[in-house]
Amino acid sequence: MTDPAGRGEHPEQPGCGSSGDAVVLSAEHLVQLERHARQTYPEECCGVMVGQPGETVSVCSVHPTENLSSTRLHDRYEVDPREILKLDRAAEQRGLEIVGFYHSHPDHPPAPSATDVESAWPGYVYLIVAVAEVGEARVTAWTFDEKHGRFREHPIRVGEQSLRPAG
Amino acid sequence: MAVKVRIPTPLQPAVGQKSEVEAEGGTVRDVLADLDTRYPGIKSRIYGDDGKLRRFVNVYVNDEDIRFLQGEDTVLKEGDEVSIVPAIAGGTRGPAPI
Repeated sequence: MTDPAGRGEHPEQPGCGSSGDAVVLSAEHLVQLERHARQTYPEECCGVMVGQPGETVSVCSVHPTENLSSTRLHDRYEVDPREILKLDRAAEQRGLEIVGFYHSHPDHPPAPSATDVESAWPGYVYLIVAVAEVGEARVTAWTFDEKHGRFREHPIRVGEQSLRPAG
Repeated sequence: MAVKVRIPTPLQPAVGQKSEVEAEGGTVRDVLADLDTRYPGIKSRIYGDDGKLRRFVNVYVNDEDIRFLQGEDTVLKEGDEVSIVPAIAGGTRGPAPI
């Protein structure tokens, strides 16, 4: 079981819930993220999240995509832009949007790297799945503060409990 | 000739929070220039100081990356859709100063 921010298990709340400043995910989404991260381990995985934007971002579906990074798959990722375009069009049909992206950090903490900062866009949620050969995966959520050139962590909400950022 | 331009979420504040806008032009370059006329400031989000498309910006005409067409000189026809698609990349390699 994927453990958001390493804070224990939380009840599932499927669909698109809402709560202030948090990123809302279902338990099933977290399972999908961990599964993908383990499938590609020790290489990085990546994918797209579709949902409802706003102060609280609600993820409705998670879409694994191919890592297009031509070299260094173990420490680089690149989401296929054609997939982004395709998913964006499909999301629009459902009245939703691409709300963010995820990638894994194999054998690395779930915090944005210098490489992540370099290529960050404001307005999206970036989920990072830290995965190792043994032990639970950890998931953290971030948005990029363009003004200050740094990422800001957000709590991940699964069900009723809110998981505060690790600080 | 007016074409539709898809705007990704990070750039939507520059166009009144719309996900799609119209712009005029016979080529991609013209359309992006017209976009900046209609929504001043958006050009700086798409182009770098060197006048080239930013590294983390992809431009598509319908389903094709303009890098595999004629770049910004790609000629547009009625009904074409221009999409600005963010390049999403990164990965581990040392912690960031967060």
